[in-house]
Amino acid sequence: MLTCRDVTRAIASGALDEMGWAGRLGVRLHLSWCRHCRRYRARIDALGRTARRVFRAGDARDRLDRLERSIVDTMSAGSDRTDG
Amino acid sequence: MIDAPDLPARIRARDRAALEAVVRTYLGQIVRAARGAGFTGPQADEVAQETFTTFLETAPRFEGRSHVRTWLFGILYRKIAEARRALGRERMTDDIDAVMEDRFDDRGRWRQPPRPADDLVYAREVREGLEACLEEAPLPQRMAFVLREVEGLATPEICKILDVTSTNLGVMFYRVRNRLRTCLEARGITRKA
Repeated sequence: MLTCRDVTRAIASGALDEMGWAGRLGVRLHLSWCRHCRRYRARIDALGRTARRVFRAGDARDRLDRLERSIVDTMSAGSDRTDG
Repeated sequence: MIDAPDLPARIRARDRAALEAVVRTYLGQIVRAARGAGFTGPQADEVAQETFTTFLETAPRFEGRSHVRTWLFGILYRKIAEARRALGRERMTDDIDAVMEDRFDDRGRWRQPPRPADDLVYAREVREGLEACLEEAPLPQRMAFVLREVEGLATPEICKILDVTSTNLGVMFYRVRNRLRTCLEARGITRKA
């Protein structure tokens, strides 16, 4: 019988994805009657969505293009030097 | 080009077109991960540039046993670890386990259950809050979180990049997610759905 502690560990550690069917069924059953653990899972999911949104926003394409050109130029100079 | 079977051989030979394709394909992700690890704009650009310089230097040793992206993220991770050690930004203690243990009674039931399901406010203060809370986490936990949640990498690839077992990675995810939730809640950056 899984406890709330077990279920939160499975959710936050990502172990859920690697559990066998019996483990996943156990977690699912627990979640079906435990609203606290359902809330916990919703929070962990929201955290991931927020991080994606926050860190994927505002990648300025022109700045990245300038950096890309600068790196490619350095690499070309470097490979010319070592090859020649 | 980037998925061609001869890519590792071309990287080893420092084929210019192949190296450029690697930069074009992965630069955006490398810069984003550097920012996730706590570097601001110009610093993130600099550490990304250093990552690709090291990539070029080590290219003749690239055997293609792991994906080129894994190889790049591994270089980035070591660069970030070096820079953070130099700045003295690594915290040694980890108290999140005790915080979480306190939330359960001795039969493993919630003693302090989560408040009703909420979503985080999406605003500048969330970005600042998330960055400040990530700053409290040890670097391996922080990188694990960014590589999974922002870059969407799978467990085996993250294990290779951070050089940890999947059991260790599970503990790191557990700690960093609980740490971030606890920290954001303490800062009041949540709202009821």
